[in-house]
Amino acid sequence: MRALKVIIGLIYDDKWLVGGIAAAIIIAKLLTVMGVSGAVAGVLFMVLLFAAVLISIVREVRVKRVG
Amino acid sequence: MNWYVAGASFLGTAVEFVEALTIVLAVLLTKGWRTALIGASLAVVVLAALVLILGYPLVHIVQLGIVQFAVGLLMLLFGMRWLRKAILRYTGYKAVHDEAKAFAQELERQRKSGGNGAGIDGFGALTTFNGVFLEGLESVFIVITVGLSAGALPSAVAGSLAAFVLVILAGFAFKRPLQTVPENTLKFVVGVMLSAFGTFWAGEGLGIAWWNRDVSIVIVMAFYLAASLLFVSYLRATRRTAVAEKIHSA
Repeated sequence: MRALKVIIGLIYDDKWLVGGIAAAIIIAKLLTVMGVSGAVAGVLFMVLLFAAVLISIVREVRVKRVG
Repeated sequence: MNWYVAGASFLGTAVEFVEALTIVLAVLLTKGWRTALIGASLAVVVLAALVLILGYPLVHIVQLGIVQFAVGLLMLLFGMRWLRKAILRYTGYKAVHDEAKAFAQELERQRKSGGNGAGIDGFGALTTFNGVFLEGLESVFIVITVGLSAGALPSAVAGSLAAFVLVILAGFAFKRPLQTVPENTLKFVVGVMLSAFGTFWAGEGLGIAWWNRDVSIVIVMAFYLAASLLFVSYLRATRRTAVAEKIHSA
């Protein structure tokens, strides 16, 4: 139950991180469907996921600086 | 005893057991032994029940890709959240002390309610359950396929059991030195590890054929670690500049 609350809380609190992860998943799936090689798709998936973390952090830092 | 089959099963399942141990140790060090062991034990029980009920056809019934994607997605959500928080703490944008204060408050709350201070964290238990279940499932697949194809299932089971015992012993040996690592560093490393496992499993579930399979986990981990450290140093530098500008203007 607590884990479920954490998941819902995460989606509510950090839309940018969750949205970024969802976007990375969709792009990775498209790449595999298109037949892109595993190494290329893997690297892109990894980079996109980390980009989601970076965007989420940068947004929080901006809010704190302005605040 | 067919030693070739036992050896192949030992090596194949040892890799999976080490991956499961990494996750169990990570949760054990951050959320306590009770949380880690409850999730892991529950996974072993569910897995044993599946093997006993379904038997050999388990390999054809369970869609490994779907399980990998679901577990990978959960690990990604939690791992990247931890990584994000740890980076913010390292750079001073989030108070490091928050966690210690929350922990003390939780202890106090449990003391008042008559608890023993060693509660169970739902997320931690879910994480070890997922990790042990998925790795255990992969190990069962290895044992069944190697054992049945060579017609030496008992040898494959023996090889896998030897790997299991060896990895458990390694876990006991590594637990104590890891307990001395500072809390935020530990959470940072655990965040990197969970994110790397999550990336790998979610990727496998999506159909990505990773380069050299499980070796890719180490590469993903190294990338996340290096990129996070670079980002931490960049954020620290920009924060120092911003603080200096504020002081100068005041």
